[in-house]
Amino acid sequence: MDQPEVVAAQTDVSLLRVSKLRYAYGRDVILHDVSFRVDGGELIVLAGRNGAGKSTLLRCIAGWTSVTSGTVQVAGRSLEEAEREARRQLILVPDLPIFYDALTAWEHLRLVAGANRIPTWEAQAEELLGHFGLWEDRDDYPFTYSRGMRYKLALCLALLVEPPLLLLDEPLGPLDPVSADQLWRDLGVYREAGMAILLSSHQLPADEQPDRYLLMEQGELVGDGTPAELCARLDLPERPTLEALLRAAIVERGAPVGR
Amino acid sequence: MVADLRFLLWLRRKQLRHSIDYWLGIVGYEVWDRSISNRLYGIYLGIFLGLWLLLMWSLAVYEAMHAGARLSASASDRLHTFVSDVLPWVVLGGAVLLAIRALRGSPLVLTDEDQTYVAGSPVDRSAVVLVEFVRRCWQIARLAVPLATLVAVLLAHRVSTDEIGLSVIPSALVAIPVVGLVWGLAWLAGMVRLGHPALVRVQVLWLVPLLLVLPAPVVPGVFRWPGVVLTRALLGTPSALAAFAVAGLAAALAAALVYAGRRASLTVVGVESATALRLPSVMELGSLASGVAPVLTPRAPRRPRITLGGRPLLGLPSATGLGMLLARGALVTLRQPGALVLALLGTALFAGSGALMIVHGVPAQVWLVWLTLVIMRPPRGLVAVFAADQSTPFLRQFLPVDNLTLLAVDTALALGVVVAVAVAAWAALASVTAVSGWMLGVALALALLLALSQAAVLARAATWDPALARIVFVGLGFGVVLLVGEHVDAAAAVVVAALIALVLAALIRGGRRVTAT
Repeated sequence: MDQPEVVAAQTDVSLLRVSKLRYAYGRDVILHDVSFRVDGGELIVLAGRNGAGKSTLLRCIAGWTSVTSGTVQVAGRSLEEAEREARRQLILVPDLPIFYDALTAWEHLRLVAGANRIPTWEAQAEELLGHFGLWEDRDDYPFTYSRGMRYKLALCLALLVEPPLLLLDEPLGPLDPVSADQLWRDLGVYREAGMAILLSSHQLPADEQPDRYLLMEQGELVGDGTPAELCARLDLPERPTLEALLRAAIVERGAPVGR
Repeated sequence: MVADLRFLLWLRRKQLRHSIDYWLGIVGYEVWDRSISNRLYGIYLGIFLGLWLLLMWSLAVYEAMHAGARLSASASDRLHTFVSDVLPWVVLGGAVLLAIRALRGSPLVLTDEDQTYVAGSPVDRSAVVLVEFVRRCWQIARLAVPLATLVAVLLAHRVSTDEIGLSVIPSALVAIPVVGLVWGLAWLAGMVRLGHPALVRVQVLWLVPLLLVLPAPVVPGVFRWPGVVLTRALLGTPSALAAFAVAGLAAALAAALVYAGRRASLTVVGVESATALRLPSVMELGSLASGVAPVLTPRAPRRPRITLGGRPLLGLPSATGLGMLLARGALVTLRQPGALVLALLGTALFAGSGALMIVHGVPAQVWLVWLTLVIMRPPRGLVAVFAADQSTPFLRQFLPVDNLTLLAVDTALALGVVVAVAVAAWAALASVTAVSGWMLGVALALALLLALSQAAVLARAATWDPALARIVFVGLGFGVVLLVGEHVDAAAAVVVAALIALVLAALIRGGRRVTAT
């Protein structure tokens, strides 16, 4: 894959700053005062048990869901006050992306490229589709695709735009092990180019570590740091597995881990 | 089987309860909230809904009775003769069409949840078929009985409800066994097919009902009999014996369904259900794409995965910015010609009837019913593409324009077609009858207002509940225009519609770019 050119916002502030974010649905509080920041060129893994609030957090950051209180700032612009400008800096790929029934995969890429005025997009789209193994299926409708193929197409659309901040909800779950390894390496390439990537996941390719972990439990952020920092704090050996890290963080918080 | 029936009825009752709870929540009543204020609100809702239904039903009966009473004696006789001649054939035609449908695809349609928890369980197939058949008949009968009552009132040719009394009720109830008989025949045909793999593979099986009714012109008495029973009931001369005979036949068909349903393959049902759920959009695409199986349903068992080969005939042109969005909106509209035709018909019916009411004036109860229908079920074809954009936040992120601009490009083609057809229809009608230009102006203003009011709801222009937003944007907007048209004139109605359109446009522009799913 060629080196991408990510144009990050020219600013000295954090690319993403989340402050005391709270989200409640009726009486249920899903997210409790979550705060963290993300800088350009960081690859961050958001981990937590099912129902911890990972997807909700990503949707709140992307502006798909209105927060109850707290602020989300993207490249210094508040999502609440300057929604459109803030959201031009990011793309969220949800765990189950939906596509237009009436457009083929190639037409989706053409639409996104045309609407966002991306010059010489065809070569890039061709490379992306080929890279993710969708070139032969480019003239099919996405509703005929398998779940993994749909996620790959969604990734192609997001990577065609090359946003400064890419949010991925469970990107490794729908992919086969070979594709998951490949995606992890690709994300490394985009990170090198300056793109910030925040992804939620329950698993990582063997022996791979992100730049930082955000660990969530019951709507709270219970860990935020590099693998080395978290290992030191939680008394774990170097290069811990995601499962070990999560268990230790939950135990430290005093919550039952379960079997 | 009794235990299975009990289980399935429990499941459907829970699903019905969940659905009712959902709709109560939409109108602000929370089932879990045991506070006094919530309970009082529930009582208020119940009384309001009951009175509203009573009012609407009274209005409908009143209108049907007066429409019948206004007919002259000779016109009434002609209408009776027409109904006697035509309705039995309509019933027969309906039965044949239903049987054809049942032989092209399973009449039993299972949801994804049903396929997992019902089809995948050892539940007796007969119980599944029987419960779904009765449910389907109930769904049809609850529409057919009120409709039959209104027709019976219309045909009674009386001037007061005292004269009609309760005599039409037994007449209308005859519709229930007729529905059971007609749907029973279709379901039985479908279940026989589903029980025999060899029949499932026969692609021309749907021709059988057509062949079976070939002798109808020779022995019309036999084939027209169910329709004749219904017609006599509607004309006020019901035969209890005939009605019981139809009911007995319907019951016999239900019993036969229990037997035939036992052999039905729920695997085939599952595959055809999945196809049926996607069929409307797939068939429209198939009509434009090369290499697509024209009839998917009969092939479904052998081709469980729908594959669309070849390139679509119409392609997305190379364009950038708004040009690309405009082209996309037009292409999506053109690739779903059925939706475009429905949008045109729905808008024409809505705008035409609204303009007629404003220009010519009608009693308040008529436009009250019209307004209620528009609030409950506004024609959505015009904003179909915009609705798809708003409901898919993932794709909406890639469209870097505000909601108003997106609405304009998404609806450009559909609105253009509506305007062109309206002007052409006006020009054609103006040469034969006196149709004023104001009529055209009001109709177009209402069509524009329809698109904007629905877009305001979709774009979450207000933070209210969508149901409340629909009442405010759709109901209040059209209500004001109707009132002005009624009490001032058509020109004032157009001006007010334009002002409301401007307010709605400003609200849409300021709405959120992506709505939560």
